Amino acid sequence: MASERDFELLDDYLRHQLNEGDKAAFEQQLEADPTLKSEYKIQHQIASGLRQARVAELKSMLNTIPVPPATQGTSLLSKLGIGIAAAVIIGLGIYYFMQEPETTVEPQPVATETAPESSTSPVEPQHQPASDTPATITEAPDATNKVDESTKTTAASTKSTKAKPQEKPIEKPVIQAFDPSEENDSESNVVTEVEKTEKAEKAPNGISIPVETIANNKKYSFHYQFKEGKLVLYGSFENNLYYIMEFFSDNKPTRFLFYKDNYYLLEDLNDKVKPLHAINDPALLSKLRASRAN
Amino acid sequence: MDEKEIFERICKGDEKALEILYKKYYRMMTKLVITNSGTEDEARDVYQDALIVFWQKATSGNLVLTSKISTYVYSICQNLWRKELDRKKRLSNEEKDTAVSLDTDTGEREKIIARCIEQLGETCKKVLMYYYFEEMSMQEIADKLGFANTDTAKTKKYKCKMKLDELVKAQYTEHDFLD
Repeated sequence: MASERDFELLDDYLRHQLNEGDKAAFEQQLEADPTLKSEYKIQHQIASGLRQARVAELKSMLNTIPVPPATQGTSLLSKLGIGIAAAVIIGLGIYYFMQEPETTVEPQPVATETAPESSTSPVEPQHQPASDTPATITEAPDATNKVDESTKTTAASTKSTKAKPQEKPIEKPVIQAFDPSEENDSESNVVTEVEKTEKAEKAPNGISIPVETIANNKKYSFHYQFKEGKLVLYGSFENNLYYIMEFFSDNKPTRFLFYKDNYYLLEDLNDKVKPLHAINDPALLSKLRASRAN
Repeated sequence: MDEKEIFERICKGDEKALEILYKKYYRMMTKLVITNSGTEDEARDVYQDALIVFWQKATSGNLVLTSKISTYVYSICQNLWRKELDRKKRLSNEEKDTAVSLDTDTGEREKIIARCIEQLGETCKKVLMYYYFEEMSMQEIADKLGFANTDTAKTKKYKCKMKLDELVKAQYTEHDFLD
């Protein structure tokens, strides 16, 4: 007959709580006691049932946990995705390849428009000094930003003959830079004229109008006059001891007389006889000297 | 949470730590089964079973971990999947007829016990499950379920077990399963 102690041992046995010695002793008792063995069978089934119930409970709990897709499924999906992406890329590649002959014709004007813009800006610093018009540099203080733009664009125009669309905006600032005719009194303009007309002066021999000297006029002892298309000098000018300098700006001549180490401005004042006054402006004098030396 | 902390919490029966572990190695473990002619469902089943084996050993205090958790669980997965593949092989043979006839009584007894367990209250179920599956001590059960002390846990366990025994024995008598 199984005692209370036997049932306690049975419980420990089912829960694997007995040591090896107690376990062996209890197994011997089980074989010897049919009632205890019968109870053991029932209790073993109940304990197993409770374990299974707990396993089912834990599995149910694990099934509610969101997990990443299983590897095979993912790999298949990812492979499929990669395949589709590859197909799309190849398809687009073929499409653009097939379209290329047509599209290359169309963008050509665009390319010619855009290419100079991108090419001129990095070229600017190199071509500004290379410009063959120093006048634009001397005028820079008068004209502010527009002049800067003009110098930049002139540089571009001299360099890139391909950039036809940009030639128009280039020419306008150039015209502004070379339009000093209304400012003949300023020194800077005189300088530009001197430098420009040097080339023109060298081409013809002598000056553009004849010169006549009248030494014995009672009224005018040291005067000048533009009369009937010629320059008349009144005074005791000795032949070949005076020197006429002639500069052209917009086909308008500006003339100076060099006589006995002095320079005189000769203004065309419609046949009026004017006295000769020596130029005192040192800057203008230096320019005139430099010009004469050449 | 590092491996050591996870293991310590699992040893104390912390189901949240089990959840973290489950997510952490899900792909690695299921890949083992899937790449060895298993389905995704089979892979999940095997991984869950392996993790529950690990859980049971850890909570019962019968596990001294000498490797990484993943290594240990992976080896359980391997064993379980080998067993499953063997079972499938055996099922493909003609032996299955006799096996089915033997399983009939066992299956019926299992169903009776499952129904009886369902008739218990939630606390009773928990106490008995922790006692027989996790093999927790009375102190651990008291801590886990918020009982005042171990005596309360002991009394609760005794009463719950008595009730389950009565329910099962009554059903066994009806089905003539008692020897």
